[in-house]
Amino acid sequence: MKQDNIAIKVRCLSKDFDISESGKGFSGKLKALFHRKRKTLTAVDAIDFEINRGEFVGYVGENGAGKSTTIKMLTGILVPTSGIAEVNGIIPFKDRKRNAAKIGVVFGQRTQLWWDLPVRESFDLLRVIFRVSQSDFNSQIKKLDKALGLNPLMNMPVRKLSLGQRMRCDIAASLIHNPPVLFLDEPTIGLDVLAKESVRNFLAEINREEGTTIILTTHDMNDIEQLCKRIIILEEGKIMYDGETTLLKQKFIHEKVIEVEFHDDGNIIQGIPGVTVVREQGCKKWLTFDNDNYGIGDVIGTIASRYEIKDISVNEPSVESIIRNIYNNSVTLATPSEELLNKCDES
Amino acid sequence: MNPKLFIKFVSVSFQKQVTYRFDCFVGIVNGFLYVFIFTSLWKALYSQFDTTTHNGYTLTAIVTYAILVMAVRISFTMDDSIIYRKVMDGSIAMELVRPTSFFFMNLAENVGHSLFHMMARTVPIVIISVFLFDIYIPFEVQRLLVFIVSFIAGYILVCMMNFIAGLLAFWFIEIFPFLLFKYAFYTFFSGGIVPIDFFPEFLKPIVNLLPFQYMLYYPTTILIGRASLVEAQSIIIAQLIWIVIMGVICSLMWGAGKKKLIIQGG
Amino acid sequence: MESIKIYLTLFAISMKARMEYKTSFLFYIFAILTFYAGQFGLLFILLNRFHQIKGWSVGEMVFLYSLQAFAFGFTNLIFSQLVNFDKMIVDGEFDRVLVRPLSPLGQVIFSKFEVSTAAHLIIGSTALYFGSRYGNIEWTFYKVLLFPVIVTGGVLIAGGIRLMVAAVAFWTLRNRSLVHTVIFSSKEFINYPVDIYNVGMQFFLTFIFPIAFINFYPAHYFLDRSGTGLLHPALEMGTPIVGIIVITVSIFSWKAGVNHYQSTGS
Repeated sequence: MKQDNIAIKVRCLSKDFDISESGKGFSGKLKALFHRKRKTLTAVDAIDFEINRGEFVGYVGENGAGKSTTIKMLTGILVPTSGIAEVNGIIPFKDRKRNAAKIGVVFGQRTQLWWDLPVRESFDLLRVIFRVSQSDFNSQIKKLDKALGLNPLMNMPVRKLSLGQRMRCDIAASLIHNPPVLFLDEPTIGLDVLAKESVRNFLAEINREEGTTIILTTHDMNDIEQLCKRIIILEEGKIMYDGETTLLKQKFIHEKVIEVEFHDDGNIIQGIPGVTVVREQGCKKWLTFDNDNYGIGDVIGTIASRYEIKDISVNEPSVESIIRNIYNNSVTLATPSEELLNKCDES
Repeated sequence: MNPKLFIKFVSVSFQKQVTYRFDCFVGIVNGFLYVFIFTSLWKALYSQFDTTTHNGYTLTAIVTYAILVMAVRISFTMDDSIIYRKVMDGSIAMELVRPTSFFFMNLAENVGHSLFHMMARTVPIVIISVFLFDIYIPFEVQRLLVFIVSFIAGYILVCMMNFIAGLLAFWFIEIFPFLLFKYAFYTFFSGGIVPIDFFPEFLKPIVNLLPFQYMLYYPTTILIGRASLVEAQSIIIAQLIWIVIMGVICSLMWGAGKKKLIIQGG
Repeated sequence: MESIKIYLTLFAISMKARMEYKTSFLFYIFAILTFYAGQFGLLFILLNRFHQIKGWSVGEMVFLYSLQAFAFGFTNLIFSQLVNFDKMIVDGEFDRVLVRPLSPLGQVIFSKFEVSTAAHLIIGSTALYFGSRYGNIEWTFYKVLLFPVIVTGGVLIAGGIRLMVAAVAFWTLRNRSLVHTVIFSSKEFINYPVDIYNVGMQFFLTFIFPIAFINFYPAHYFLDRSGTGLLHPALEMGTPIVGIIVITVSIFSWKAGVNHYQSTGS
């Protein structure tokens, strides 16, 4: 059935907050003692999306864009102001416990493990809380251990773990009950390169092998590039982009940058159609070319045949730079049509 | 320590307290609660006997004492977990790097904290009490000045007591039991609830061996007129002696603590 | 029910986590005993001087105290995490609670193991023994049966109050001063027989903030005392009923708090 394929469904989902302003300065604070101004802040503004089972989606936005608020509504922490949210066919805020049993959540900044106890005890407690059978638990732990290397950590109290070790354990902990949907909020924050790599590999693996639907909130664009086939960009509570990550690049950047290193610095690049030198430094030159009209293979071939090159690389603009451009409003995305905008008022 | 710097720290600490205004209002209720309970208790006790004076206190005198000793006690409010928290989160290491005396910085922080409580809690409580209860405070300028000196001396003693207790964080992970001990001894031996005059004879030698009575009891006796101005002089001298003794303890402990910090690295 | 097993497992883990600090466990209990000894000491000094408080003899006062000690001992065991609940909200810990397939209240209650209960039980038992003897209590079958019932009622009252104060944190985020005053300082009221206060306060402690039902009213039954003031025979047996009312109201306020949290976030 089509319904079974949808892991997360969000329709016209909105969340408003009442903000009371406290005054500035001493007189403002004094005034605030007696009267506070109230303002309504729309953190999430009638958003729509559907995530199918097995998708790996990046959920991205500036701080304050509304991502944490959305995640909180999907995990049952917050109640929406209006609209529909369904996870695994369950409405999170109506059926909080049932929803909680079928999701895994990792908050990057806070651990879900018990601080003073050995990791093993935390896992066991979670086994009890999520009502996982002993046999399922054992096989799951074995799997997680194999992928994340948990064995040496099992007997260590959580407070003694390094950040990377703790994050691995936190991710494992969120999967003890093998939830079909996993929410990750900044899981690679503060991790070193190796730790990030192992976490990313693991997430890719469980998405691939187990078909776990994963929603990843992160500021690290490398996470997105490596893991998320689909990206949803949130800006001021509205969805600015919802589509394939690769398409994002293709759609908004028309240029690639070729970095060429020569053996000496006397070369002058000219006369190659569609190619412009944008920067020079010593033996290196950076070139852009119009990739709408010229194939990269031809361009590189031409350069290589005309000059003696030491090294050559092609740099694609990162997802980060694209998103930065979106934040800076240097790139405009298509605005939702009038039709879509009015749809939510009917419900 | 630079006086300007000291005042700056006091002001910063004071401002921090201003943000907790709800706490301040509840704090008045809290202080008044105790005033109410103890004045009721004394009234009930005194009503049981025909004699109007017990251990040298009339009912008015004892009620005055109960209220004022509570006022002094509230004025001495300070955060006794400051040092513990600094040790726990490692910011204590900053104190080694700073060219300022940790003790005086701590004192400044306490003064800022206490000044706020004095203004926000003690003053309202005393004003309300004056209207509600029959109390008598002799208003002699000389006496009040002597009281202020004794008050300051008592304050320094309390600061030192908390400083010493706080420094234990260097050696013990859980200092809460020690803080409980300190609180128990302070409450009992300072005369904060029952004046020392009522203590049975066998306890008096122990009381005299400890500095606590010089924190609350003696300054209050000066204020309520129970101690003559002549007696006040010896009280203040005794307080100063205790300041020296406890000052030495503070110094030794801080020295030992610093050493431990440098060796162990926190 | 399986949920109960889960909560008990949570509690066992909390106990284990607490026991990680073995040495401080005993020391902590000793510190608490010292603290209460200090409190009691002051009471004894007064009773030594005045022989009784509003007709309550030493023995009867001690028995009065035992009821309180037992009630608070068990209250601490169950409701201690609620005392520091505001930290859970501010740290974001409560979000984690909501993301688990268990009741939030159950998780909060069973997440902390409070060690001071042992100290309270020691004090309570000691006070019960001496109070019974010197208060001349004639223990009948019914009295023995009703003692745990009264203690349970007291636990519901004190626990309910803690729950309500914790729920305030859902709205105000910080509730430290409220905790300090309502949960800790207010205990002082019932250290003494409630009829030492004026009628207004007695009314308050009976019908609005009903802590007098924790020890004062039930004590009359055990001590075969005829009461004065607001005392009506029915009040002597009121503790269990008041307990049920208080806990019910507090559970409602907790649920309202959770709803508010889920509407407005933190």
